[in-house]
Amino acid sequence: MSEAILSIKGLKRQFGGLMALHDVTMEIFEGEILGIIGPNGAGKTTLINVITGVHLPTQGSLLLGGADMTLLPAHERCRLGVARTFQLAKPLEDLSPLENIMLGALFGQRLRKRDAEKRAEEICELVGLADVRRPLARLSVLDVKKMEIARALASKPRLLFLDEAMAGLNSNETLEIIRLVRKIRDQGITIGIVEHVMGVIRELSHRVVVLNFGQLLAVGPYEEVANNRQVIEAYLGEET
Amino acid sequence: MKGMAGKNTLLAALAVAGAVLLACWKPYVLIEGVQRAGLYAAITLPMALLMGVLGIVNLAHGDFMMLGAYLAYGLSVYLGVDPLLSIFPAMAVFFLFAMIVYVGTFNHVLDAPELNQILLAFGLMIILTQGANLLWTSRFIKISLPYVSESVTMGSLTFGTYGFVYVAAALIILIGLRVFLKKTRMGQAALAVGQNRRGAKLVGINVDWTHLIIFSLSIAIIGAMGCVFITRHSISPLVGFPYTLRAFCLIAMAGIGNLTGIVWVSLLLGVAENMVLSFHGYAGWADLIYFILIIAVIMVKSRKRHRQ
Amino acid sequence: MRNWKALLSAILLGVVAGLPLYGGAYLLSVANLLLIHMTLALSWSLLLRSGQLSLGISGFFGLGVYVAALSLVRVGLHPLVGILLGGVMSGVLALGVGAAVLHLRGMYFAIVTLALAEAFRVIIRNVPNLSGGPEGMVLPALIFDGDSFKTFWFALAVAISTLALLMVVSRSKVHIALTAIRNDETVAQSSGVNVYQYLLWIFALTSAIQGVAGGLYAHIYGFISPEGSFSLDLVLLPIIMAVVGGATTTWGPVIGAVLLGSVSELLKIKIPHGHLLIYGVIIVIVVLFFPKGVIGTLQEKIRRRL
Repeated sequence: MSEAILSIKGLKRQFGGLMALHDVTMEIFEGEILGIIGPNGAGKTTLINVITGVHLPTQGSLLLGGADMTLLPAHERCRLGVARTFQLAKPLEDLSPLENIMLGALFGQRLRKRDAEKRAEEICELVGLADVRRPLARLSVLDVKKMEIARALASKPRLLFLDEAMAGLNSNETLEIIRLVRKIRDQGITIGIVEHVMGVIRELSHRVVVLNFGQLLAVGPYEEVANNRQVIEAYLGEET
Repeated sequence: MKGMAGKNTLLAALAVAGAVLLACWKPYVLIEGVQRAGLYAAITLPMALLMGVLGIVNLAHGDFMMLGAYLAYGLSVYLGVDPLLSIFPAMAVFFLFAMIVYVGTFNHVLDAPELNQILLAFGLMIILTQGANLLWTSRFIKISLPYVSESVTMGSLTFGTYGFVYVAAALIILIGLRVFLKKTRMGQAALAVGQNRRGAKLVGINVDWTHLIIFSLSIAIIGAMGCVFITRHSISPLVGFPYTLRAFCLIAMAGIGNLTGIVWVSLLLGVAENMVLSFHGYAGWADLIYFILIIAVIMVKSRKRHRQ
Repeated sequence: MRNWKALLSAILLGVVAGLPLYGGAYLLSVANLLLIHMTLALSWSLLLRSGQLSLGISGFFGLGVYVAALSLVRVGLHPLVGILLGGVMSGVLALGVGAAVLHLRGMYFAIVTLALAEAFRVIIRNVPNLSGGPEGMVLPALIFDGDSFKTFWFALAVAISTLALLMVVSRSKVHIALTAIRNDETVAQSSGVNVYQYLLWIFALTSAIQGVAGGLYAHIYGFISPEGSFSLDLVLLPIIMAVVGGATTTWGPVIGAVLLGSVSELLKIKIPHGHLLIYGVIIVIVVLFFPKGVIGTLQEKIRRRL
């Protein structure tokens, strides 16, 4: 298909006595939408945290477009083109929605304030967010989610991770975000999407990776993975 | 785990070697260092309890000790009560006092941004020291007690034995706290709250009550320590502040939750300070040691985190 | 709308700058002290915007005092150079210490700054031959040869420059970076903000300002001592002023300084020994009941009405 934009080899992440990620090796190909699924506590968010630099890996390597970013701090990875949203929405409450979005443009892309504002407004149009100068507290749940996605987009990422972006949305709102994800991908951005709602994963993903207990269980198109016995066991029954 | 055992044995061996060396070269440094360490440990342990369970750094910690000292002074001068006996009424008084303080202030800021907690602790520290200053002026006062100058002669050494009271106090507090935390229901609840507040609430522990009791216990202990403190030190309103700083340094070095570790790092600090004091003309610099130690600890810990 | 604001500011500035002409020596000295406290309050609040609370103002201030005094007495530097040098050295020291301790956050950072200020005091006390020791030192010459008009205008200039700095910062991307860091560091760094570097430079900048304020203080009073230069007043008052006015706003510390500066003078006259106690009570009350200060609470009320 296309080039691997992210190459992960032997990734391990340990917290004290807990091995949260255990020898994860995989690739994300440019232009694809990769679904990342697994039971609670499987290490999905940890994986994103390690890829984006919130945590450094205990072992292993990360290559972004061939460049080694294993030990780079988070802010530098953002500048290289990796962005993400958070599982629990984290709006910056002392800033307006517009300023929230401008953050990525100002520091990820290093634009000047006026240019950052323009870019932020463009992104607002893309995600369908209006009235971004009003107080943050007035935003609806859907708008907060859109704002978070916009904030991640503002740094002009090549690779974007969406961590449970659909959580707490009704079916109409979910459809809207699905459409948005496709629009983002059509702009040439590779997307990794963590979700619990299988319908969404089936809709959007070109490929799916399954994590359990920090280990990679399966990789492949949705149908293949959904019929994988180990995957079914991981979700339905963990009795040994 | 094997690495840990190896490292600990190495440290223990170094400590023993160091002690033997000191005993031969500067025995008074060792003796007085151990006594000083006892004082530091006894003061630090209640602060560590508070920090471990509530997550608050009590900037006013040393000032409660100062108040306890004044209380003991008052009881000694006006009622003729020996300060060491004042420990018991002091604990009761400070326990109640702490409950009032907690309900009135800290209770409201536990969920507020940390900045508010810091400011509150700072304001409390000011109120206690300035209140004391207003009531009793900044004049230093002292109690003379005959048993404080007890000394013993062993071979060519003559040294004061009273200082070991601090060591005894530290050990009593340490053992008392460990028994309390492991064997009593309140203690176990405190441990749970300290580890995971929400989790503790979910399993039915009354977190607010636990906070209240632990806060009051911490203050009660340090207030009682004031009674011990005044037997050998002269006091003034600002006498507690340096101990607050040192206590924080010791907790940072030992790691939160490591009560026994506090005894060891207290020994390190106590002996190190006495070592500096033993060199004539450099006495004033002993007050910098805890600061140097804490900077070193911070730098080592952050380097460890970077490597991870 | 803009015009009357500018006009009002000009009039206000004129009134204040003209103080030496119509006010007496006493009023001038109160004003000088108020301007110094205002500068400290503004610098403290700037660091606070990043989420870090420093209790070590007196350390960098005291360092500025002694650098300015010693550079005059021992090296013979021009007073203005000495004051600026005090600022530079405070800034450099903050860079060094900050590099070590800015991995800490919140309470731990606060108490380490407190210990740092205490460490400075111990050092000064221990080098009596250099610093004049606990008895202190008299300055043989003062900036502007002690001209009270020029000294006041210099103090005013320092305060106004600090205010101007905060105003510039508030409109720049630095403001967004600092607020992001304060609200959620993980989001900030994931969006490309080099958190550590921002904290380091803001710490250095605000400490440098405190150093300059210290040097200024030395020349206004002509006498320095560890007691006076590292006194608790200097930590307490600026913090209260900022908190009462509105700790993360630009004008909050200014209003707080004017309010509390005047109140503190009254208190010093009426209750010569209890005024620090009252400050402590004020902090506790403000933290418990008005955590956003005067301006912050007003801002919130306005926002709610919109």
